Amino acid sequence: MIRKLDGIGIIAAPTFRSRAYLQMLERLELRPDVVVHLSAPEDTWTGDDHVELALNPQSPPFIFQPGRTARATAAANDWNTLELDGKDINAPAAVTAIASLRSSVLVYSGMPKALLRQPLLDTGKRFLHVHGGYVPAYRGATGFYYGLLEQGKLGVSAIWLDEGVDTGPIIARDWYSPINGIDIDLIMDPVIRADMLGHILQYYLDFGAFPSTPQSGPSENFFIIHPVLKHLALRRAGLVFDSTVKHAENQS
Amino acid sequence: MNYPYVHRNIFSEPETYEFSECRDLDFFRSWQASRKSKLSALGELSSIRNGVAEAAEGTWNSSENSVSLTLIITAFRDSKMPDGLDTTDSKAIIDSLAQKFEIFRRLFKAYRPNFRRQADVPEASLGEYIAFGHALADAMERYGSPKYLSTLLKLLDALCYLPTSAFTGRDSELLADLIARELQLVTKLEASIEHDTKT
Repeated sequence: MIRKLDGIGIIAAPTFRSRAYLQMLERLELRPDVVVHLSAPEDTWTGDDHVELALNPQSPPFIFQPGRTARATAAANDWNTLELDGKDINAPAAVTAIASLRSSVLVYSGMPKALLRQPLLDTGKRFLHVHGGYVPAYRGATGFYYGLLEQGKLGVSAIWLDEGVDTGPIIARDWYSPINGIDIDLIMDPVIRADMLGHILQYYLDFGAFPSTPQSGPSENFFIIHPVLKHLALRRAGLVFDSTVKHAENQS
Repeated sequence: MNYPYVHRNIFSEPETYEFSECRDLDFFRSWQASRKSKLSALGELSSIRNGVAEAAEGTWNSSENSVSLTLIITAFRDSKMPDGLDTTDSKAIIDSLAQKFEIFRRLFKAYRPNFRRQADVPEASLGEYIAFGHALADAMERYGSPKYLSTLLKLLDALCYLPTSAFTGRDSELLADLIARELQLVTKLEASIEHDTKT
C-alpha cells in the first residue's frame, strides 16, 4: 500500500545516490511530495542491470538497478517532479523554486561536494542529508572509507544540514558491513544511504516526527582518502585481489 | 603496474583522487616501488653533492600582521605555540595547514594571525613543503588519525614527481627521511590491518 510522504520532497542530482534513494522509496511504496531534478549529465553505468544486496537478515535483499535513472523511477511511479535549470542548488532561481515548494522537509541528494549556502538554508525548509560516515568522528569527504579503514565497517549518518560540514543534528546513524564483490563507491555507498533513508522515513510515518540529537563527542573532518589508504581500507574488508596471481595462473 | 600519481605536476594540475581504482595488490606494490625508486635516486644525488656548499634558503620574516610558515611548522613540531597566531590549539594549526593544502594544493610562506592568506606572500618553497610533510608525519604519530597520512601521501606524490635536481642537498636528505617515514607509517598501518583481520 502506497504511503504518502506529506510535506517531504527530494532534491535529486543525476547520481547513483539519487537512483538508489528513489528506487528504495519505490520498493517501500513511499510517495514523496515532489522530486526536484537538477540538470547535469547522468552518471554512467556499464555493469549488470541488477545488483542484489542483502543488507540485513530480517529483510529481503534490495535489488538495485544502477543504470536506471532517478528520472526514470520518478516517471514510472508518476511522482510529481520539478526540473531545475542547471545543477547549482544555490543559484538564485533554484533557491526561489525551493522556497516556493509545499514541502517543509527536503531530502538532499545533490551534486557531490556542493554545500548548501545561507540563502537556501534561510528558506525555512529543513534539509535531510544521509552522510557516508559515522558522525561526528567521520565528517567530510569519504568519511566512510576512513571508518572502514579504522573500524572495518561502513558508517552512515542521517543528519539535518546546517552551514557546517556534516555538523547538523543527528536523526539516525549506523554501521553496515561491506559485501564481497560489491563496488563500494558506485553501489554499496549509495544503497546503504538509501537503506538508512528508508528506515527513517518509515519511522517518521509511524511516529509522526524525526528524532534529532545534537552531535557530541570527538569530531574529525576528512578529505578525499588517498588511494593507498583506500586500498588498505578495502584490504581490511577483504575486497582486494592480486592480479599478478591470476596472471601467473594463466601463464602456467 | 606503474604507480599512476607521480606522472604530472600535482602542484599546478591538482589531482582529485576521486573514485580511484586501487583494489589490486599490485597497485600497492607499485606505490612502494615508486617511493623506493625515489629514495634510491635521492641517495645517489646526496652522494654526488656531499661537501658542496649550498646557499641557505630564505624564509619569510614574521611581523605584526603575519607569521612565517617555517615558524608555524617548527613550533608545531616542537609542541609549542608560535607567537602571533590567534589560536592556542596545536591540533588546530596542523588541521588548518592540512586543510589549505587539501583544498588549494599549495601553501604560502606566511599567514595572517587568523590563518588567512596575506596578499603578495610568495608560495612556500620545496624545503617548507618538506617540513610540512614532517609535521604531517608527526601529527599522524601524535594524534593517530589517518587523515594526516592521507594528506602526506598526496604531498609526497607532488614532491616525488619533481626531478631530484629540483632539491638542494639538504632538502633532498630531508625528503628522503620523509619518504622513509611515510613508508614506515603505511607499513605499520598495513601490519595492524593484517593483525586485525587474522584475529
